[in-house]
Amino acid sequence: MTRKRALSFVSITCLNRFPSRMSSAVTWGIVMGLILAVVAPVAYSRGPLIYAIKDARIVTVTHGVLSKGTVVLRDGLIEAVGRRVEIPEDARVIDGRGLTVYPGLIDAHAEVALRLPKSTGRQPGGASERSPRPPTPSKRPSLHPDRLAAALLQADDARLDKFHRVGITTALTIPRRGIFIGQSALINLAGDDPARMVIRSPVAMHIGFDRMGGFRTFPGSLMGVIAYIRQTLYDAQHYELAWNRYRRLKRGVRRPAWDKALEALQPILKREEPVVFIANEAKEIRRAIALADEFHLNAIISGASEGYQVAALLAEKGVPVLVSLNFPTQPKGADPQADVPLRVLRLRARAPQTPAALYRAGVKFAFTSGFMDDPKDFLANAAKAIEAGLPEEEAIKALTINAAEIFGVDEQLGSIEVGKIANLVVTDGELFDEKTKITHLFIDGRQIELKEAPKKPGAAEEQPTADASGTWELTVESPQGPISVTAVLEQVGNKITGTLTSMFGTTNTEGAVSGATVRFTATVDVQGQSMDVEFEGTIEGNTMKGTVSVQGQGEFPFTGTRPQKGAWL
Amino acid sequence: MKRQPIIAILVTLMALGLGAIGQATPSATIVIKNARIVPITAPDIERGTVVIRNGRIAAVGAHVSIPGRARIIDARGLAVYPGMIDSGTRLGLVEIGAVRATIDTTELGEFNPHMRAIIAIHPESELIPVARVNGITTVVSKPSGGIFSGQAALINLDGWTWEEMELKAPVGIVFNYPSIRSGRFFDFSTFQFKERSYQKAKKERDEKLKKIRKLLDDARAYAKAKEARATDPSLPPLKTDHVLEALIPVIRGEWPFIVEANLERDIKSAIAFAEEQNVRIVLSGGADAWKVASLLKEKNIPVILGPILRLPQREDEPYDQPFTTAKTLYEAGVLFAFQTNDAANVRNLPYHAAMCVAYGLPREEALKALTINPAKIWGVADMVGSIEVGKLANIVVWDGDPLEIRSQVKYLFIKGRQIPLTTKHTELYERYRNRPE
Repeated sequence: MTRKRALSFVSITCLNRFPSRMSSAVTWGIVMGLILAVVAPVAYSRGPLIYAIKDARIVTVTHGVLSKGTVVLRDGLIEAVGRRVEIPEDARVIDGRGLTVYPGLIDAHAEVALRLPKSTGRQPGGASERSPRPPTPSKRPSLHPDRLAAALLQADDARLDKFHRVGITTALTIPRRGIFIGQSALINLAGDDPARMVIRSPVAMHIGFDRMGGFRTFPGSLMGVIAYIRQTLYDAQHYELAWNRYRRLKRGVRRPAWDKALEALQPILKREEPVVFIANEAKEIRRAIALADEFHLNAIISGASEGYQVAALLAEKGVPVLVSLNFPTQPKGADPQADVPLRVLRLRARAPQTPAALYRAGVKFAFTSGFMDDPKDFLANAAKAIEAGLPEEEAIKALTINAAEIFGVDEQLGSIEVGKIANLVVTDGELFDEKTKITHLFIDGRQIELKEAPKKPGAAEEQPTADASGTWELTVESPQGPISVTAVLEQVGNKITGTLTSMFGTTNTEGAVSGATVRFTATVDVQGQSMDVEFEGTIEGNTMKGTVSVQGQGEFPFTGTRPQKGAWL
Repeated sequence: MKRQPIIAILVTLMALGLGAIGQATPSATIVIKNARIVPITAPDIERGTVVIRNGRIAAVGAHVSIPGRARIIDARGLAVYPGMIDSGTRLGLVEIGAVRATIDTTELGEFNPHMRAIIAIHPESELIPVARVNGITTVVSKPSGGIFSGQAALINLDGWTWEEMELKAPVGIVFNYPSIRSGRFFDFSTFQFKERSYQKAKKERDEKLKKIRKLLDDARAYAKAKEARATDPSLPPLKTDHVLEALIPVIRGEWPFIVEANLERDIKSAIAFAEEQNVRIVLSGGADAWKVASLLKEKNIPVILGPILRLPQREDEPYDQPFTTAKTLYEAGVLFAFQTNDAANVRNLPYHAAMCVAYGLPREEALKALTINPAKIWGVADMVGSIEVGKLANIVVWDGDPLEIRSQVKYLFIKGRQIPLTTKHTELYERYRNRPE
């Protein structure tokens, strides 16, 4: 989150806590003072983070479902959960009637909040070391086991909103491409300070079977990739033996060369760190398992779109799977008459059956967004897996506690239990129901603003059926009481221009009318900090009704009347 | 005289070097007797005689009187067939695919209806003898590339110049029907794989069709203006436009478009386009023709099938789809012929047809598709395609079934001239066989 957003958030949450009848001038002064007081840069230090969600349905995951209970969050942790929990005096109370609380969802494999090094692209040797000669095994293409995702974190990834929108609070993050890709970090998807986002690092070594493509590039085939991985792991084993011998004998032994890559591979050979193999095709999964057997690795499979074919093998080997919910589908803009081969159609039909097949075989699995750029289908695709035979509670586990267990953080994450990290998703219905909306999201005990997906440009705008011109007296129902706004609007065609006057002063506004729906936005200037406000309402005669969304604050209802029709004079 | 030895040497050289080709002059009368005759358009004659005179077939039958002073070939145990016609090749336009200087099939630009393949034919091509010693006497040589590639030529595979080789040119304008190509493709300009959406690909295709329509409209206007000047000489002279000039016979229905299309969607679209523009088309390629056989029959559109010896169009099609398409077309009553679409391997033409016979096409129909059908499609059924009196003496004497790979050609005549059965292949064979130990 940027500092600007954090600030606006603080100013209004503070404002909201003052008595509603206070005169605007007094409120204004206090707001100013508070803003000046909290200009300090750290978002975590702004006042008490104490919430109580009461009378909500609570899906604890590990301890069943409470049909009516309360969760108390304090300073980033879950302080209490239960049917009869005393609500602390100092808590901000959220009325949870009609709402369901789930643990924050975990995306078990993503490429998010990372500042990607340029060399993670298709150039295996790294763009910087591009040589006129093609890479060979001895040039060790795509060998970055020493790369730590935690060191590449950037807090202000614009894509975080997209993850929040589907309830993802936590992700295992790592660059997606390469062979020896690096070591992943499990992070919470909010915060100003990357260091505070990390829950665990390193979590696992990630190995991909990326064929490097191109014409004169090694390795260009799956067998080449496997051969290269094996040679590198043998090299790592030899490295350890050579150094051990040197350390033991000290004299009379030529000292081995230090190698950061082979050094970094030691934990996986000692089974201190698991290896995530990115393998979608059945043959890739089989080969990953064969590799794990050969080098006695602690393997995890990620992707597994053809996992339904090898569920029994995965169960026999006790290999957990991170199942990608990025199910293959017909690409957008594809030729409607294209001759799609049967094998492609089969994979499209069967990939959603993988979770159920793994469940039946007894394989532990978690869900991943599968490197979707926008994980908007994350929950919808999980629902497809349920439709294909996966029990709903197993789907919830795959989104929460299973990932936490696979990554060794089940004491901190994955369920609603006292002492765990306060990552929560609050919905107005069943998680997998397409009509369900996420109403609140908490990460590390902090409420996260949910931004709606931007409306598609070019969506058919209706001809205006209402005339918004005139002077409107609007009343915004803020949680602390009504706020008056005078809107003077003039409509030409479907365009609106005008001014808004409130306790924040007068600003210009513009907008549009579509049918009887009017939409206008303004930027309110609060002591140098600007805040976007968007009104959306329906006009009926001389009344207007709708919602206003305030950047960082959420949405509030408003109503209004128009004593004066026509343009003001 | 001092000159005499030189002349003697020249005469000797001619006798040695050219003697083989000059064995028989077209004016001589040649009689092939005691042969099994397969005239194609008439019932087989178990034991008959063919008389060749002045380059044409003078007589054919079981009881033909043998003229005096004729060269007589006793073809006991042999079979006489008309020369085969390959309806789509690059023969004479390509010598060695890997040597750019020997390729003359393609001009730059999209619209080259005025490019004439006939004048680009290289009569000395080493590939021509290779093709004809396997019984192929006549081929269509097609230009390629762009949208209108140029004018295809029907040539006999014998002659010192392209004029001597020409049987009919042009037989049509090659029209690469624009297809909607979406999805992943390799962009050579950036050396990367890229995606093209269906919407974009369709738009590009539609743009091309629009251009083609406009060009045909221009050709109509041009033809009209030209006619007007023929009747009214007072009109100002018309600037000659080669491109539009070449399209006049097409819009008048005199030449067909040889439409290169393989996908069902493109074939249907091409048929609709031809109706809309009121032009004649011959479908070439036609991998999906089996899906639209009844439509092809209904619209009376001939098909040049091939190459047959290839993989199916799609990975889920039956493995034998390329081999059974001919049977489907035959059963639907569609007029079709075969093509190899090749230069060096035109000699394999009979085996393309033979594969169709193995997969259900009646043998006689395969033979027709190699002889009389293409003659009909290209409008030369009065000259070639069967053994009938008056037709050109393009005649092949086989020691077996031409569709059988072990059969050998024993005698070969193009326009009545006996062709030596030597090729670059036999030349190299002899040369290295005689190499000293």
